[in-house]
Amino acid sequence: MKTHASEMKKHPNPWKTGLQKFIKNTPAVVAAVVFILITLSCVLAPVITDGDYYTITKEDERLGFTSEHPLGTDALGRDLLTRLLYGGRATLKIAFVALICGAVAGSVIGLISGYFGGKSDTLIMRLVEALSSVPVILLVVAVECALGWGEGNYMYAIALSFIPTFAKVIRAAVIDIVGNEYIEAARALGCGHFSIICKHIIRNITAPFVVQVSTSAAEALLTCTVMGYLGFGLDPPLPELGNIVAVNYKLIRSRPETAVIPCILIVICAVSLNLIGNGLRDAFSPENRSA
Amino acid sequence: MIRYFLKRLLLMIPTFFAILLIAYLMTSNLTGTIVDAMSAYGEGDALDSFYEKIDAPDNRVTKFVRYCYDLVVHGEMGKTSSATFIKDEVAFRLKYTAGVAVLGFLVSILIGIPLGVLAAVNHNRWPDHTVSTFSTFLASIPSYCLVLVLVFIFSLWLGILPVSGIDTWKGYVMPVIVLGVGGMSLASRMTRSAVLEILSKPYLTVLRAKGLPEWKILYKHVLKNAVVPLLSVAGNIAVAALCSTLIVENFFSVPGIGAYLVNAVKGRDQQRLLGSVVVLALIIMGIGFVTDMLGVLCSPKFRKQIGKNGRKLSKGADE
Repeated sequence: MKTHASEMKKHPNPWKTGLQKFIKNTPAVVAAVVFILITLSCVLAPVITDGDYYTITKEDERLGFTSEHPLGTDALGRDLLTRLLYGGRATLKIAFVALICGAVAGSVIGLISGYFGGKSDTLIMRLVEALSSVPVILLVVAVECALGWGEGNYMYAIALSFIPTFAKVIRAAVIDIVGNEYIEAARALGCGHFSIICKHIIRNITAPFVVQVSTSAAEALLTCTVMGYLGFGLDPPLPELGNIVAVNYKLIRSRPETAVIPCILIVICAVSLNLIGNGLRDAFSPENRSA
Repeated sequence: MIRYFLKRLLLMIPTFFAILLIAYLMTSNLTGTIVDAMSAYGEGDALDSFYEKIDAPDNRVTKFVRYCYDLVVHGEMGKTSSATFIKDEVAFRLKYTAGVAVLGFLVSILIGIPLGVLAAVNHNRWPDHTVSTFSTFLASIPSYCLVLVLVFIFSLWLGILPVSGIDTWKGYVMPVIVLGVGGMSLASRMTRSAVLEILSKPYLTVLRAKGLPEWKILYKHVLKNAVVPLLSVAGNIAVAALCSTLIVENFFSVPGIGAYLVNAVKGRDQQRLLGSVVVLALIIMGIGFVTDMLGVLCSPKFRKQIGKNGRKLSKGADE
């Protein structure tokens, strides 16, 4: 036990060192701050605005920037700022739920596949291969056919589309860990599969899991907005970043800023998520930890 | 070797039918079809006689088996509600999708892979940082934002490219740029990590110690060993390009499979939807097969493993 404790002292807590590394990465920290600000303003949308994203102002239709409508009105004469904040709220929520569901499901599949190996591994990975060859848009169609249209059910489809990535990453990580001596030792001591998985494997796959979640976040967000743009998202009166762009695309000749502003917001969100992801990857991935 | 080829080919058949079955079951209760509209107004008996008239079997499984039979034996995919053959419609549309997807694929590969190699060779120096920043930024731009910017610049401002349609070569420019940009950032990132992995191998130190010039190491050893990972990169990019056409075609009104599929979904048209799914699934599986086979042909390691075990070994087990 004594040697074990001294070993522990030599290796500082990887989470702490990782976090310190992340904080030194200026672009990632700036991105994190920007993203948190955007998220906060979206979450606080009912407080910031009057929550009126559906009233059509007829008299001052296609208004520019005014005090009443800080970003003007959209193609149908609705307040753009309110729609943006509520849209951001919906999109961020859907993207987040989709990502977490997909990540957890994919990781569990990868864990089972990698830990038990053999025939079940072959079977599971074949199914995962099949799933990964289906375009997201088809998954969205299939899921919405099964569960109903226009209620944001496409988040389950996006979750499905993340399963292959996570299953592959986690499976590879688990296979690496299972090959170690300490797993063999634990097994020799009489630990069951369940306790080995809980005590040794899950702790060791947390870092790749977090890294993969953060690098997939931007993709989840962009897929959500694309589906919204194509009209597979929420039903029309409800705002969503994708369908805001789609509605205002018509105004590209007269007032392009109504379509450009939501695009800029989406790009800022995606860039900051990507930078955060890169920062976390550099901070936590095992190849960089030793260096 | 031939055994592996055949096995891989045969394994595609159940995968294909699995995809088809899932697609069939999921779409068989599409709401808002013609029959739904009839059942909303007609009596139950009228609907029954309608079913008898069109000779519709009562359950989904028999319908699915019929569909598969037609597809495999006759190569038919059924008719649309306006009595045109889905096969012909799909074949007509495939030309445009193939054109856009292949060009987009070539653009992303021809720019993305050299950029990735450049970044990997200059790891942690300015070319690497530039390429990484560039590709991160490009990866964060959703395709429709890019479409908006391109249409704004080339169609409205400069007025040199058409906003939509694909009658002349000019119509191909913007769809291919959109596809190429998306694929390029993916290709450069994947290439970079693949080449970096090879660059960290110890045999390169031996080669340097031997006194080989750096360019010779790069061309003769690094890139030669990178062929297999790069093939899988190319396969991924090809699939990604094909999937992106689904979205890009809608922006530019390209009459391809993607627009066909989206319209089928919006029109709740199961036959058209299944037709496009069949074609896309076949193409995607074909790409997977070709990249796998080329990978096997190019890599002595794979060849040896296959000779021994009859299947690819998993990543963690190759000791």
